[in-house]
Amino acid sequence: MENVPSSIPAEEPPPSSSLAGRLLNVFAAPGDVFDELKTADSSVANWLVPVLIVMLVTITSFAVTLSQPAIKQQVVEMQEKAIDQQVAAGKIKPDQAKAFKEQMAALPPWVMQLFGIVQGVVAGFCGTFWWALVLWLLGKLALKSGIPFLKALEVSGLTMMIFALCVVITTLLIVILGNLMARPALSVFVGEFDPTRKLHLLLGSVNLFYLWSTAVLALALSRLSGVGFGKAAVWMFGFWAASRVLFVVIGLGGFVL
Amino acid sequence: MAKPKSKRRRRIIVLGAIGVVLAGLTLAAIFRKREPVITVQTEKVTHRNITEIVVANGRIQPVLQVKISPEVSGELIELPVREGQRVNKGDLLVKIKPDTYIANVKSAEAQYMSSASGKDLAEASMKKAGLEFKRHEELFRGKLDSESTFLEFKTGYDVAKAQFESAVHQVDVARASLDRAKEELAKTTISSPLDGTVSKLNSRLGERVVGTAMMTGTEIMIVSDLNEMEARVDIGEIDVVLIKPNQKARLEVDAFRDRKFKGTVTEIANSSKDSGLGSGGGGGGQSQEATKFEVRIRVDEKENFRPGMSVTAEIETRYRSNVLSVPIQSVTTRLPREPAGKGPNTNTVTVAENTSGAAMAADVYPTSGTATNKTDRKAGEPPKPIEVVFLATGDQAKMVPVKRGIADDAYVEIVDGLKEGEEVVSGGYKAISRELEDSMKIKKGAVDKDKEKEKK
Repeated sequence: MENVPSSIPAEEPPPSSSLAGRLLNVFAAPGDVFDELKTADSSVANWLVPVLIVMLVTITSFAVTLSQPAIKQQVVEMQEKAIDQQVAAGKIKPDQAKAFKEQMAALPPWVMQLFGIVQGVVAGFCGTFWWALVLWLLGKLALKSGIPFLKALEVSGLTMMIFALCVVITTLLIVILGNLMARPALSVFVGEFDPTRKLHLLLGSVNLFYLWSTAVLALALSRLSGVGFGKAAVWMFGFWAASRVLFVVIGLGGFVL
Repeated sequence: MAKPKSKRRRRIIVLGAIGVVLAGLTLAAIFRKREPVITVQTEKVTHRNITEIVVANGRIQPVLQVKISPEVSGELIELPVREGQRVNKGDLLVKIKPDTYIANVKSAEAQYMSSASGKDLAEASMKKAGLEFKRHEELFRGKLDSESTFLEFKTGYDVAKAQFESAVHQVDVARASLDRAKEELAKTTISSPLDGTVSKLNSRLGERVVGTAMMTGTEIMIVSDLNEMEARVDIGEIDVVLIKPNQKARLEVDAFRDRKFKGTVTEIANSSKDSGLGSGGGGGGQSQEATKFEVRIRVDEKENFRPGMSVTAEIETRYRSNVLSVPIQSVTTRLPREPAGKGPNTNTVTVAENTSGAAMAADVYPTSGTATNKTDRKAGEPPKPIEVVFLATGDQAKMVPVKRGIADDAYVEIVDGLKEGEEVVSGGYKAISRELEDSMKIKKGAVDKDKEKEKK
């Protein structure tokens, strides 16, 4: 990440850029984007447009992924395996499991598409608001600086562009490798990814794009709160790592992938 | 001026790199061969000993059991046994009220005495007529009597003789009636015909039972010898030809879950269970149920069996040692493909000559149906499915026609088509039965034990 001063002189405001410029610059020069955001008036477009892009990309990704017969088959196998595990654990009876499997096989395709739309909306909105809340809380509680929530929301929204790129790359990897669990993460070194194994989930969570977006969020935290990047990065990556481990430990490993 | 320039260069590099990566991945995704990969389990072709078994269900029954039914009707006045009670041969089982039958005996005795007296009377009459006939015969010879008088006494004597013979027969009839009445009286008491156990008791003291000498009366009880038990199982017509006397069997009785009993086949029914039934309608209609034959298997071990217990018998019909074998689920059926130009599928038929000289189609496609290896068929006749296994060769499945021999509950003998050490697809069930085709991509996965267990 670029090394920037902790505060920008008020008399030299950075030149304002267009929304498209900001959406692209968040990849190449995020520091400039956040410097500009800090002094500019709040704009809904700064977070809403990235959210809509993420939603669109996620829904498209879902449709593309499920159009692959091999992936569809893996989804069915995973669902059946999950049901079998429930049976083995004694949570459901074999007859019920059989009925569930038959129901799943009879599900019309639009149900899966609907699921993709829901996932897109959740990923876009919830992801943006979640990281905005994290930024705001870290700024307020850990770094003792009052970051306006709307600014945190704008930063989080723009950073979601990296998540959108992550979704695109992941989709392409899934299609190329024919593996539903293909990710630009350390899990790529695992021969047979097993989503029920905690170690595999932790490796899967160490995703290149998650690290990238966390670094960008740390930079944003540094710029908005006026502290050094190192300190902001320690808090941001610390939170990120702790949340990953926590999710995996409490059995919500699916959220870290 | 240098700073904005370097920033612009950095932006171009970063965005360009992202673009290049995206373009590369997109091209790779577009030109990638799209093919589903099927997860399978595999097993090596090895030599094994295979014992073919025929499985059948039935019930445990005593080898010797007697249904106790009366030959005379009446009220039960004595029933000194309970269900499950041991009885010895000759022990009293049932007594029917004998009053009527005693009266019948007395009546028959009187009848007999009366007819005996009648016989004596007829005999006396005959003697008297005989003497008179002799006297008139001498007078007639001395011309002292007329012919008509002589003939009158002669006739009288003949009549008296006939009456005597009739009286003798009347005595025989009366004696027979007396014997029958005595016999019926004796039948009011029923004793055990064997040493055994009252395995079923249907009647109660005071009940009226019906009995005739001609047809089956009320079934009062069943006395069985529980020391010798047998399993009576029903076997379909396809398998019954494999069954022979003295073949060994393993018997699983539901009541003794953790044990398997040894048995020996003793009898095989010559006629099916439903033979002779339902054929009198004249319509030629056949029963929808499968034709079954009763096979009796003597239980070699002693246990506290009770008649009627459910049993599953595994009869060992054939045995082969050290033969090439694969898991039974590995063998499936596929239809041979139509020759080029004869149907929508334009693949050519490849016919391989196997070592035993039989032709086997090597180019086949999935279907369901019964198995056969015949490929030569008349024009217009639909293709018949052939038996195949899928070999795992690297990440591909190779379909190979096979000829199967005998099978046990887990493995099947392969007579032709495979070599030892080859790896065959042994699971999952759906993949083998429906999904797999020749040259399909496969991935070896872990065996889902629960699914396998469920399938078994």
